[in-house]
Amino acid sequence: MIEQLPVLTPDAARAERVAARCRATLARHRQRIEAAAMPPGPRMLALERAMVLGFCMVYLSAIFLTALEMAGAR
Amino acid sequence: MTCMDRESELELVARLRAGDAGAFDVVHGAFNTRLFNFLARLARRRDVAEDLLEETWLRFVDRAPRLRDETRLGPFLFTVARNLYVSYCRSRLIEDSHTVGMIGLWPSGTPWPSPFDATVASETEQRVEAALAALPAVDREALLLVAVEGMRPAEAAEICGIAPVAMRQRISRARARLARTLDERSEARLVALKEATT
Repeated sequence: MIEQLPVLTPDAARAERVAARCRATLARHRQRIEAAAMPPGPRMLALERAMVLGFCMVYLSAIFLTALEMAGAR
Repeated sequence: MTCMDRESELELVARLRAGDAGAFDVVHGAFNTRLFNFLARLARRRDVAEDLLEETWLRFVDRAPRLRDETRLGPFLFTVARNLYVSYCRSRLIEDSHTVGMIGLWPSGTPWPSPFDATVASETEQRVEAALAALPAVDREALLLVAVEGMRPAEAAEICGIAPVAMRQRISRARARLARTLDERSEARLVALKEATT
């Protein structure tokens, strides 16, 4: 008997509103996934290289200055 | 899972992880009414079931990008729905403990007709619905998942977070309780009928 209980129907209008919200959330997920999967453009690559080079220069300058200070202290 | 084969299910999971709205529509179409029936009979209130159903879908899409490849959508969705119902019961308990002094100010009974009153057509169905509603929540959810939703006891056990053996015991106990309740109500009706006719 319990297997044949009548089917209760949810509010169709509300179900559609909820589904629309869910679709919008999934669309945002999709955009995020696509943005993460896209290879970086040539400008982005150039910027990345410039930043790496800049950090290297700062690091090497710091080493050079420290070495000069140590040599001066002697 | 009764409404789609495993291969289609795996494909849907992959599409959902990629944010495919079409895949969501398929899953929503397959499970919305089933989840609503489960929640409505568990909560015994249509408005609560509608709220929990909405929250179930929102949580589902929120977790969609992190679904595992082998996720089984049915048990996953029913687990989310059940956990939301349990949280709702806990929050209501806390709320009730705070408002116990004001309880007399609240209108008695449910303000909306229950889903059962609204849709049940035959007398037998009404009796089964009433007997089901009278069962303890743990027995009711076991019966709803296995007898109404057609899930395997192992799947239902996973949803309820218990061992399959315990689920089988719970189902058998719930069936016995349901049968007993139905018998008791039938006898009471017969007695009332006899009294009315003599």
